[in-house]
Amino acid sequence: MILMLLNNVLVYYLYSMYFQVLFPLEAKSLVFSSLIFLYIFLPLNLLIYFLSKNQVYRNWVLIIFSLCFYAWGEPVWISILIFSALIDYFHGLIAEKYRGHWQSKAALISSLLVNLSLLGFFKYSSFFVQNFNFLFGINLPFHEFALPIGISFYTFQTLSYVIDVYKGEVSAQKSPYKLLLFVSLFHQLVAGPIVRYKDVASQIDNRLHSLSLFDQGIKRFVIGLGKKVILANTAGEIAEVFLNGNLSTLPVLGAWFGIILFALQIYFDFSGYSDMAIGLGKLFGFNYKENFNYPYISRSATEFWRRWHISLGSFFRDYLYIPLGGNKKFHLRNLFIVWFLTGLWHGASWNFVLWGLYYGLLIILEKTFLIKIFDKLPRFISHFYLIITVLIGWVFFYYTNLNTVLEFLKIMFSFGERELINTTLGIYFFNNFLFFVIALIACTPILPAIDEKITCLLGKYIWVYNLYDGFIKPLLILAILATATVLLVGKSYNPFLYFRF
Amino acid sequence: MKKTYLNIVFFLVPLFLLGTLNIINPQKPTVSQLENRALKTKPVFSVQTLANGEYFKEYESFFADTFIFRESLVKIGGNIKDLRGFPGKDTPTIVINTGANVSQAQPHPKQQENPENNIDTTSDNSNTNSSKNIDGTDTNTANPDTVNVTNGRVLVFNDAAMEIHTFNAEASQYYANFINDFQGKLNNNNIKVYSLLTPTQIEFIKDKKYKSLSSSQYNTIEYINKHFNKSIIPVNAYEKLAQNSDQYLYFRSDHHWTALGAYYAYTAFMQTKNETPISIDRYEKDKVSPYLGSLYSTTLSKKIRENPDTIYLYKPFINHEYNIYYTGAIKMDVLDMSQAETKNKYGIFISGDRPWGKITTEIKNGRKIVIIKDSYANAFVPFLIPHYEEIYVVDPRQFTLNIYDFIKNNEINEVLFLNYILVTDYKDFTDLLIEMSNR
Repeated sequence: MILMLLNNVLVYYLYSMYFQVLFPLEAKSLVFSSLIFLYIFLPLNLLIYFLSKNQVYRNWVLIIFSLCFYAWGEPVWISILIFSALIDYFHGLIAEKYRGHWQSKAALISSLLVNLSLLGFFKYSSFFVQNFNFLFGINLPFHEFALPIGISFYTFQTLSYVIDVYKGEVSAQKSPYKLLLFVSLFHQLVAGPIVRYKDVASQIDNRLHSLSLFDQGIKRFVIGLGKKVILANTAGEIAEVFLNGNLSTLPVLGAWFGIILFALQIYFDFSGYSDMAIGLGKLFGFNYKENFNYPYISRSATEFWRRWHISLGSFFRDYLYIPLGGNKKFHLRNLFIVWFLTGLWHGASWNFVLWGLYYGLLIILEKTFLIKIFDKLPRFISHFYLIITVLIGWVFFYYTNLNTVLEFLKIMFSFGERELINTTLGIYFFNNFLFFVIALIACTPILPAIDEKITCLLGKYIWVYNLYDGFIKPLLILAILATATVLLVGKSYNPFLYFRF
Repeated sequence: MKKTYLNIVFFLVPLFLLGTLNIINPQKPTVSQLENRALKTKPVFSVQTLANGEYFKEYESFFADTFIFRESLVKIGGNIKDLRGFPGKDTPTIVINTGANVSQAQPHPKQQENPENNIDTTSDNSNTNSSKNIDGTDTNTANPDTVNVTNGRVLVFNDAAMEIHTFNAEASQYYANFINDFQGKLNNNNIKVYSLLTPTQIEFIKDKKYKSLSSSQYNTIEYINKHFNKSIIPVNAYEKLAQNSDQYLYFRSDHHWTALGAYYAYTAFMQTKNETPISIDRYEKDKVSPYLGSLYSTTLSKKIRENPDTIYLYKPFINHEYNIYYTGAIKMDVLDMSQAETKNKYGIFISGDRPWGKITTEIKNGRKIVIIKDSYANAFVPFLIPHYEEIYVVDPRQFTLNIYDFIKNNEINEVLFLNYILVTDYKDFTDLLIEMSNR
C-alpha cells in the first residue's frame, strides 16, 4: 500500500515535471470558508478532541486533523512540512545544547539555509531563472511548481523558532511531535497569522479550556467567517467587474470604485482569515496574537503597517531589520532590504517588489518630514493621504503586469479627460449601495464602539443587559453563520444555459 | 452577572445537525433541474486521485452540490443578494453568468424514459471553474476566488433578463470569413448561401441608458454583412423585428426569441427570396405556460419568477415527417410536446438541439434547404415547412458528418446560417463551425 502510494506520488511528480506548466498550479488545501470544513471537518475535530481525555491524546488529534487539513489538496507537500519541522527540531536541540559555541551558530545558519532554500526553490526559482534569462539573454529551463500551501508561513514560523532558541529566548522543544504540532497546526498554517513558537510554547503542554474561551472563540470565528464569505467574496465579485474588464472603457470613478472594492476585499479576506484562525485557536485553547487592527483608519503608511498583517511586519522587524542594525546604522539600506523582501514575500513577481518598495519610500518620507507636517494639519488630511496612497498601492498589488498598473493609475487620475461615470458603474453602485456602506463601516472600529456604548448604558439594568449580551448578540452571530452558509451553498450554484456557443 | 452560553448552542447545534443530516441523507440528488446540469457524484476512491488531490477536491464539490436543502438555500441566497442595494429601491442589475458550455446536446431519445435524465449529463461544472488566478493575487495572502474572464453578462431590467452583447471586431470578421470560405468550398454557385443574424432583446428596450450597456447589434450585423463577399445573401431580420418590437418577440426569462419573433425573421427571409410569407393567422395557436427559462436560472430574479413566460406555438398545417439523426433516424414531432413537461420548454421547438434533423414535406417543389444554426433556429424552422420539400437542420455543436458531402449527397440547393448575434462576441462558436466543416 505504502509502496503503491509512493510509486504514484513519484509518477505524478515526474508527470508534472514533464509537462512544463505555464501557469502555476494552485495547490489547494481545505479552507475554513467551505461547507465541508464547517459541517464535517470542524464538528468531527471538536468531537474527537473533546472526547479525548488528556493533553497528549488531544495534541495527537490536532496533529492528525492538521495533516488531513493540509493534505486535502496536495498530499505530496506534507512531506516538506514534516521535513521542515523535523530538521528544525534538530536545529533547535543543537542550538540550545551548544549555546554560545560555534555549533549553535552553525545550527542557526543551517536552519536559515534550509528554510530559505525551501521557500526559494518552490516559490521563487522560476522567478529568479526568468529574470536571469532575461538579464543575460540565455534560456535556462525552469519549472513552475504548484506552490505548497502555507510554505511562506510555516518556513517563517520554524525559522523564528530556531532563532529564538538560538538567542535563548525560549528553550528548545524536546519532543518532535510537539514541534510538529506547532508547525502543522491548521488554524494558522495556511494564511497566518505567523505565530511564534515562544508565544504558544506553554500552551502546547498546558491549555486551559473554558466555556468562556470557547464562547469567545465561536464569536471570533463566526465574525471572521462573515468577513470572508459575506463581505470579501461580495466585494471581490464586484471589484472584478471593474478591474478585470475592458480598461479602455473604464470611467474614472469606475477605476476608483473597483480599487476601493479590492481594498475591501483583501482586507476582509485576510483579516477574516486571521479572525477565523484566532477563533479556532481559542476553541482548542490556544491564544494567538492579533494580526490586524483596523488598518484603514491609519494616518500614515508607518501606522498602516503597524495595523496591517502585524505578525509579518513584526517578523521582519525582529528578525531582519533590527539584526541588520535598525535605524542605528545603514538605516536606508536596512529599510530598502526589509521592504524589498516584504514585497517579494507576497509573491514572486516584480509588482509585489515595487509594492513593498513603495511603502518603504513612503515610510522614509514620513519619517523625514511628512509626519511633522501632518501633525500641524487637520486629521482628515492625513487620513485622506493614507487612503489614497494605500489605494495606489493596491493597484501595484493587483496587476502583475506593470504596463497595466500604469494604465490603471492613469485612468484613476484622468479627471476631466475621461468619462467620469457610466451606466455599468451606476447599476453596480446603486445595487450594492447598502453593502458598500456596511463594508466601509466594518473597516472601522465603529461597531465595537457602539457595542461598548450599549454595554455601558445597559450596565444599570442588569436584565436588559443580559438580554442584549446573552441573547441578542448570540442571535446576531447565528445570523452571520446562517447567511454565510446560505452564500456558500449559493457558490455551488452553477446554472448551465447552453447558450453562448 | 451570570453568563449565558447561547453562542455555543447556536454554533454547535447547526454544525452537528447539518453535518449529520448531510452524512445520513440517503437520497442525494443527482441532477439539478434548476441549473440544467448533472450534480457532482461521489468520487471513486483511488490511490492516484488521493495522491494528486483530485479525490478530496471532487468530494468537496460533491458535498456542496448535494448539500441538504440546497435549492431552497440557493433561492434564499438570491433574496439576500437583493438586499445589497438601496433599501426598498428596485434598480436594474447586471448578473454575471458562469455556466456556459459548448454542447447543448439533448440526451439521446432512447435514454429519455426518465424525465429526470433529460438534462445534459455530459456537462461538468468543473470545467467552468477551472481558470487562472486573477492577476496579482497570491495564494499566500488573500485568496480571491478564481474567475473566468470570458463570462457573459445579463441585464435584469424590470421583469426581463437579457444578455448583453459586446462587439468584437476580430470575432465578427472571423465569423464572416468562415461563411465566405464555406461558400467557396461548396464549389457550386447554384447553391445559394444566406446569413441571418438575429438581434436580441436588449437591442429593442426603450430605455437608452440601459440599452447602451450593449454594443449596437445593428452595427455588428452591418459590420459582418460588409465583410461577406458578394455571393453571400444577408437576410435583414433586424428591420422586421425592430418594426414589431412592441410585441412579444422575446422571452423575458430566457435568452431565446418567441415563435412570433422567429415568425418575423421568417417573413424577412421570404422577402429576401422574393416570396410571399404565410400569414400568421393561417396557423392554429397553442400555448404552454408557465415557462421560466435559462436566464431565470442565471438570475433567480424574484420579479421574473412572479411573472413567468408563456410559450405560444403555431401548429404546422402542411403534412410532413420529421426525423432526427444520431446514428439512425428517430421520428419526432416538429413541436415536441413531451418537452413541455421538462424545465427546458424551449426544447419543444423541433425537439431541441440535435446533431441533425430532416423534415420531409408534401410540397413536392424540389427545393431543399439546410439550416446551419444555433438554438435560435429551432423556433424558426417550423415556418419553413410550407416552402420546401426537404428541410435539413444541422447543429455544428454535434454534427459529425462532412458538411460538403452532406449537401452534395442530399442535393441541397440553399444554405441558411441562422445564429444569434452573441455567437460573434467570441470566436468559439465559429471555431465549432470551422471544426465541423473540416471533417
